[in-house]
Amino acid sequence: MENRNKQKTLAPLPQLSGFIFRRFEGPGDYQGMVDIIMSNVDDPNSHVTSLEDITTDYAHISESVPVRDMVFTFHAEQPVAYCRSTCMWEESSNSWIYGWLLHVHHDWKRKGIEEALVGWLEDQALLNHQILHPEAAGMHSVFFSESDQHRLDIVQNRGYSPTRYFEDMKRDLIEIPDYPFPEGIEVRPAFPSQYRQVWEADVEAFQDHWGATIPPEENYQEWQANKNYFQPYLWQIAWSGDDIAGMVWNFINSTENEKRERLRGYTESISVRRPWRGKGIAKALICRSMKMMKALGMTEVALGVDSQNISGATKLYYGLGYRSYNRSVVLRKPLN
Amino acid sequence: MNTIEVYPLKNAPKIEGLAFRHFEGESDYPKMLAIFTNLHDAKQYSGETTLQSLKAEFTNLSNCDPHDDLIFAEINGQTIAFGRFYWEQEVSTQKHVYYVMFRVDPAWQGQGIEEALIDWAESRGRHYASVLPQGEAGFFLAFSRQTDQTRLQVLTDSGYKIKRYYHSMSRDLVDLPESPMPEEITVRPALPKDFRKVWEASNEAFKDEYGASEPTEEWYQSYLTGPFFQPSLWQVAWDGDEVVGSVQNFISLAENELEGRYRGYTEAISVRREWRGRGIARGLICRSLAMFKLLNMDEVALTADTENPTGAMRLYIGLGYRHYLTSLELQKPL
Repeated sequence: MENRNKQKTLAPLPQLSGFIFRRFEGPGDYQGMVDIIMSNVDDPNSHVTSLEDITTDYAHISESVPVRDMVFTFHAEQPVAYCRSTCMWEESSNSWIYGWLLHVHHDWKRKGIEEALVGWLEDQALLNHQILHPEAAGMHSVFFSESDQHRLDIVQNRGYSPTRYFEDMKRDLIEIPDYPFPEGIEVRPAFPSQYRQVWEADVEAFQDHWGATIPPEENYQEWQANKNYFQPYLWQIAWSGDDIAGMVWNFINSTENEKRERLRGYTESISVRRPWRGKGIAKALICRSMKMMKALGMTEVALGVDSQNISGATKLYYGLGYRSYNRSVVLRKPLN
Repeated sequence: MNTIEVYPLKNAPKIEGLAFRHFEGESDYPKMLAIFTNLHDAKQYSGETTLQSLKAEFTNLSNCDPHDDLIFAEINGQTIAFGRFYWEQEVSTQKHVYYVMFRVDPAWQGQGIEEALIDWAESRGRHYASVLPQGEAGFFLAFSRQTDQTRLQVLTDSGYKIKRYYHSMSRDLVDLPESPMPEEITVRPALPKDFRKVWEASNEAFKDEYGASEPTEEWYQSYLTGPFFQPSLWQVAWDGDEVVGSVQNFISLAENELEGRYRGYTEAISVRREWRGRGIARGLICRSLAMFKLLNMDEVALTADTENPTGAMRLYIGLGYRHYLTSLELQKPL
C-alpha cells in the first residue's frame, strides 16, 4: 500500500543513454552539488557556493521536498548535473508558481542532460500540483541570465515566453553623492529582538512588487542562517520612531569576492514602506550604504532590480550612478 | 533519567542541597547563560554571551579537558556556579600559567562556593604541573573587576596578589581624528584566504605583550565560529602581500541591545615589530572610527594593559579613548 502511494507521488526518472539518474539521497550529495556549481565559476553570471553554504541552505529548505523534488545525473559514478523543482504561492497572479534550479557541470553541457532534466522537472511539478493543489491555478516559471542562450532556446522550444526582465546593476565608489534624510528619520541598526520586525517590513514593502510571494516561516530561519547574506551590522535602516520607514540589507560575500577577484558590496533588498515613499529616504539610505562600503574597503556596489518596477526603482538607481551589466529574464508557461 | 556525575569536593561549604558535578554538554549552555544574565544585572559582567557564543567557546576548548577541567555547582538541582580550569604557556618565559576561572550566581556569592571552586582549580593545576612534559612550573592566575569586592576579597584571602591592571576605554564618534598611512602601506580588506594570515600576524605582534601565550588551533576555531568574527569590519594594513597590522573590529548587536547603546569594538589592535613607529596603528584606528560612524555606532571601546610596553595606552588616550572600567589580574605561586 505504502509503495503504491509512493509511486504516485514521484515522476518517472529521465532516460538518457550513458547517464544514470537518481533522486536526492541526503547530505552526502552536497559536495557533488558544490563541485557542479563551482565548475562553472568562470562564467561571470554563475554564482559562488561552498559546502558550508549548501549545508546551511538545505537545513532550512521550504519550497521543495528534496527527496521528491531533486534529481541527480551521474556519469561513470560522478555527479555531473542536478536539478530541483520549487513551489511558491504568488499573490498577484493568484497561482502556484513552479520554478526550478538546474546545474550542469561545465564539461557536460549541451549533451542532452538539460533537456532530460527540464522534462522531468515539469513532470514532477505537474504531479505535485495535481496532488497538493488540484483546485488552484499553477504556472511553470524560470529565471536566468539572458547570456545563457542554450537554456533560453530549450525553454522557448518548450513553450515558455519571456514575462519580465531584471537588471543587474553596479557602480564604482569613487565619487559618492550626498543626500540628507528627511526630518524625523533616524538611521540605526536593528537589535536582535527587532529582526522579526525588519523581516516583516521587507515582506510588506515587497508585496507591491511583481512576483511577490508570501514567504513561509522557514524562510525567516533560512534568512538568518546564511552568514554570506545575513550581516545585520551592515544594514542601513531608516526609523520613524519605532517604525521602520525603509532599509537596505547590505552584505559582503567575501568568498565570492575572493573567487571573482573583486571587492564588491551588495546594496540589496532596498525598500521604503508606503507611508514614507517620495521623501528621498531610499536615495539617502543608498548613499549612506555606498559610503559605508567604501569605508569597508569595497570598490564597487551592486544590486538586482525588476526593470519594470512601478515605483521607478531602476530610474532611481540609474540617477545614483548604477549601470546595468547583465539582464535576466523570467519565462513562464501554463502548467498543463 | 540522567544520573548526575558528582564531583566529590573536600572543601565544599555546608549549604543544604549543594552538589558539584561534571559538564553535561549542550544542556549546560542555557544554565550558564542564566548565570551570566544574573551577573550582568548585578553589574559584575558585560559583553555578549549567547547560546551561540557559549557553543563556539566550549566546543573548542584549548588545554582544557571538558570532563575533568569543568565543574558545575547545583543547589537542589539548580545550577548556580561553574568553574573552568585551563593552562597556557607564556611565550616570554615558557612558564605554564594555570587559569582559575569561576562564575557564581550573585545570590550565592560569599558563602564559600568561590573558595571551593578555587581549591578545585588549584588541584587541577597541581595535577597538570605534575604531568605536563616541558615548560617551567608556573603560577595560578585569576581575573576580577576592581569593583567586584566579594570576588576580590575571596581571591586575596586565598593568597592571590594583584599583578596587573587592565583598562576598558571608550570614545564617542562625534569629532573624528584623521591620520594618514605611510606611503608604502596599503589598507585593503582580508579575503577568506587571508583570514588565518591576519590572525597569525596579530599573534606574532602580541608575542611582545605582557603575558602572551602560545596560540592554539582551538583558539582560532573558537574565534572563527564565534559571534565576534566579522572580517568585513577588519582594517588590515599590508606591505605588499604581507599583513603588517590590523584592527579586528566587531559589533555585538546582542550586547548593544542589552546595554541599550550602539558600540563598536576596536579590538586586537596590533602592528608587527618591524613596522612599528610609523603611525600604522593610529591610521588603522582612525579608519575604524570613521567606519563605525558610517555603521551608525555612537561609540567605540577597547581593553588595554595599562603597562603595555609599546605605549599603546598613550596612543589610545591621544586618540580620545577614556577609561571607564578597571580589571585586575591576580596571581598566586604554585
